[in-house]
Amino acid sequence: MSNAKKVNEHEKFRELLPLAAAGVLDASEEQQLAVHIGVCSDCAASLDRWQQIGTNLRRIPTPQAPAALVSRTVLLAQTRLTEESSRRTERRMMAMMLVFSWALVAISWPLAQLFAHGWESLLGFSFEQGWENFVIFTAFCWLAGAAAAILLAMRRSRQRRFA
Amino acid sequence: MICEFASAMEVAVGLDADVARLRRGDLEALAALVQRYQHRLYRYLLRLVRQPAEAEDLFQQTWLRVASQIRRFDPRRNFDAWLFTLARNLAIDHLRRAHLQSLDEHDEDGATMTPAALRASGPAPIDVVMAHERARFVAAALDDLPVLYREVLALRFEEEMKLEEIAEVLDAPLSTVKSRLRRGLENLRGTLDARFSRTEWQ
Repeated sequence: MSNAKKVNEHEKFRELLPLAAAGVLDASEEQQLAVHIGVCSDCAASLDRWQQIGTNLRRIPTPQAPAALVSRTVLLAQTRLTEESSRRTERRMMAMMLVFSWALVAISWPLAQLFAHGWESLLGFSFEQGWENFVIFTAFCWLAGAAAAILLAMRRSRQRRFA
Repeated sequence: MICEFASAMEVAVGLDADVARLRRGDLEALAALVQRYQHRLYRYLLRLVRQPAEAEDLFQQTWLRVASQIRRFDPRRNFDAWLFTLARNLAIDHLRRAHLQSLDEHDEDGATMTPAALRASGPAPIDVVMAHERARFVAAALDDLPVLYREVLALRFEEEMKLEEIAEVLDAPLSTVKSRLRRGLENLRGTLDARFSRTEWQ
């Protein structure tokens, strides 16, 4: 092997030494390095020093989290978890109410027709004639729903303020 | 060996169960996880920000974020890596905001900081004291490194994470993690050689 090639190889292995001390070489790198260490006393000595650094790094004592911090954190995080959970429940409830209110509108229109004009109005109903009434009826339902939602939200925010 | 494996499996199963319970909103599981990770997470944050008061604040913020985002956690992922990623993102944001410290620049007053926990605690045999002293020198030199290297060394040597896990926490390719690890160690050795005599830290 030429001198230049030997130097290059030596440099390549020198770069692997800190990684060897960190224990992150793959199997083939480890094997090649072991062979090189066997014939290169320089690298063997250097690896010892790197391993010393690694050992000292692993020996740095673990700072202990203050007990008061841990208990405070548990309380705060549990409160946040509860809030998140009730927010999710509220969102689910809102989605269900939305579906329910659409279903209610769809069902209540024929019922209103039935009570106002009897069976004939349902059998002979034409959307072309009755669409204005349908729009007014739907808008009224939604306005009533929106007013109820606003009242509920105001009540809830008042409750939160006093809690 | 079998006992160690069984105990590691038990820990993993316990952890998975706690994470699964937390995803269902179980408050006790949250308390168990905070207890389980308290020292590791605090140590990692202290390594990143170096100031105990800031580490405490970030510790709290990390768990608040866990409580808010646990439903987004993919249970097939590694919880350690996810938790440390959350902590790291908060710490990096904090460092950027509070100190305007760039990720690859030295902090000048860092050299004087040593973790509070490194103080000797009671009488000990001379070899233990010597080992503590050497670790203290290494800890001081570690604190002097840029956060880019500090964090990768902390994750590898203190948290004992695999390269793949570190890559997940740092959101960086494996080759980058390897090169940061090598450069971090080289920097650390340079600092140790420059600040202490070889007999002091070896």
